[in-house]
Amino acid sequence: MIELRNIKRQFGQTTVLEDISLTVENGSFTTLLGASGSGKSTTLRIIAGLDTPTSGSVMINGQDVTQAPAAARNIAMVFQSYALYPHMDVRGNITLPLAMRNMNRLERAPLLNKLLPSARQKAQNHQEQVESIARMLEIEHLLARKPSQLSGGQKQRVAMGRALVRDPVAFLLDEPLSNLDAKLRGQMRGELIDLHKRTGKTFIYVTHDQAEAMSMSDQIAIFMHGVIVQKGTPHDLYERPATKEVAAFIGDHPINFIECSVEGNVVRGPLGIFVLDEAVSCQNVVIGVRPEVMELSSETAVNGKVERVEYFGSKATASLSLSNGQMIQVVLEDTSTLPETGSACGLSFELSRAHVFDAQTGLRLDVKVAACVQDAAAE
Amino acid sequence: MNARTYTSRALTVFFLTIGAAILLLPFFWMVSLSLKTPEEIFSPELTFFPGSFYFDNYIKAFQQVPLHRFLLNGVMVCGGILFFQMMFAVPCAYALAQRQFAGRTIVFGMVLAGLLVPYHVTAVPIFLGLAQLQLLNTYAALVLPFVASVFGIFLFRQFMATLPPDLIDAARVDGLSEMAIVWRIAFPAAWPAATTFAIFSIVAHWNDLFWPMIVISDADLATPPQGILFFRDEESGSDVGPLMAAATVVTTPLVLLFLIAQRWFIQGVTMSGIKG
Ligand SMILES: Nc1ncnc2c1ncn2[C@@H]1O[C@H](COP(=O)(O)OP(=O)(O)OP(=O)(O)O)[C@@H](O)[C@H]1O
Ligand SMILES: [Mg+2]
Repeated sequence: MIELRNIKRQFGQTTVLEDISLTVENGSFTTLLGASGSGKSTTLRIIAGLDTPTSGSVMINGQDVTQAPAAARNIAMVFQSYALYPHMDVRGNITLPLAMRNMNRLERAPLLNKLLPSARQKAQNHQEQVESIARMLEIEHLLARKPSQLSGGQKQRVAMGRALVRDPVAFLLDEPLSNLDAKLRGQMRGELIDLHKRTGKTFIYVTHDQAEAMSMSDQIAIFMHGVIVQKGTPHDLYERPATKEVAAFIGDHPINFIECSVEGNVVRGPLGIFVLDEAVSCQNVVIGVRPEVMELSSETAVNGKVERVEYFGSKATASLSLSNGQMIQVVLEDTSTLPETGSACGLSFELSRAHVFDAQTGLRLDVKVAACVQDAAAE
Repeated sequence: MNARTYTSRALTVFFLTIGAAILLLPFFWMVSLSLKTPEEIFSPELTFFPGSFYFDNYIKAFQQVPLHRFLLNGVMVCGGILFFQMMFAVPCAYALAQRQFAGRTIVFGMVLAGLLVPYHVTAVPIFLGLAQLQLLNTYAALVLPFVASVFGIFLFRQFMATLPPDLIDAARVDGLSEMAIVWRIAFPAAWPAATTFAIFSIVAHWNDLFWPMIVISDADLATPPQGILFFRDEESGSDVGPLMAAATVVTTPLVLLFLIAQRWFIQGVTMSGIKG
């Protein structure tokens, strides 16, 4: 189990991480998700021992390793830039961490190792391990190449191989797929999931791509400006986003935010008047409705105009403008008849799946939209 | 190729050839003299090429003075200096390029300042120090003053500063100690710098006459150029043939070294992948 306890990291005057606490269970796939500059890599480097926190502690399997150097932690890391050793061939790259872990100084010495029987034995053992890893990652034919002779995807596999070859406490992966093209990324994503299943190891994965995070993780921690704003399963994050920002970050289609005024438990906004199951104390709320829970309906009053329709084959999206000028996105599951651009139509959504946020603080309010009492056109 | 670029190429080659000829002439003359008989050398007319290959000069050179001994001294001294220079300069350069510590800029500033001071400036104090330590007339006197090379530190630092920090971090995660990173990652990656530095160092110390003349008076410890001087002293300048033969023998290893190192150097550069 890896635990971060109240980690704070400052570079001079700027605070990059502010009170990060996170627990990663053994064997889990945890993703650190966040926009660029939110402190994901810094957190990963602190876990790896490449950086020390200004305050707070890092625990690995119950031991405080905050001050322990990287070499003493037995953690494997795949870097965004792959960081393969340029002067070694692929075989050398994958063998080096093995040699560093399993051989003593004498057995690693450049010429002596040819003479020592123990070194020869270990070296042969290592070669077998390297070859089996290479077979698994399908890079056997590349073993004799230098990193400069590899493509991006091949480098990525070699970097994975270098991490996988030893038996580390955890794998840390810093945006390992971001340099690959979309197709290869999809393929590698699947392979990573398989790899995690097969090895049963702890994976900590950094990405800024929410789709990657959602599809791979057991647990996601969302980083924003150096704090974790929410952590939970992909399902939790999708169904119960803790803040407006999280709701906006998660999901394939950008969520629609509808600003409403509120009195007690009655909410008024451009989509109509709604009743909440409990009264709230704030003045204004924002109702978040995902495009995939909205639909065009002929039953409600007309309150939108279709501005644009995008067709993707299995689904389509429509952008509608409301009377106040706001744009609303709707995912259309049924693509057999698409609405005409410019036509007017009604909008409805699954009330129970709408999220209510405090407009001032952006925090989730623990209430549900219970009923729609009046739709917009009747206003 | 059109006529215009052809003429400009031809002109370039022409001038380069003249330049090379001027530079090579003394060497050519040295080799030529070393192969001439004494009569030929002192004949009034000027002949470029020796009439026949007269190898007696070489035999005499090795007989009159212990030339092999001087060559061996040269190898020991240059090898020793280069070994220690690398031992100290490479880790130091790594620390300056890739590690954060208080006073790093000041130390690097001092290295740069050290580049500006010619070593003759410190010759006298170092001589006195060696005399106090009773190290005059030893190999140590020839090697010790040069073991810390600011030029080496500077050259390696510039090269290692271009290594991506991720590469160093990857090595740390893979279990390498800082010293292992220096010798297993940073040094091989800085191989072109190492070749360049080795050439500079060996040429400078093989050819150096100033320092050996100060600290060595024992003929057994003389370096190659110092050995050549013994010809003049002992034979009062009359024996030009063997003198030139000895000079040729002393110069040849450097030329060979340069040719070999040049190939390595090109390999080192094309190895690339440093930014890969
Ligand atoms: N050594 C450093 N000195 C000063 N500031 C730093 C240092 N390292 C990181 N930072 C700052 O810390 C912040 C977070 O950096 P970090 O690399 O952790 O972000 P990230 O979430 O990994 O972003 P990305 O997705 O772009 O990789 C950035 O604003 C960065 O400028
Ligand atoms: Mg990063």
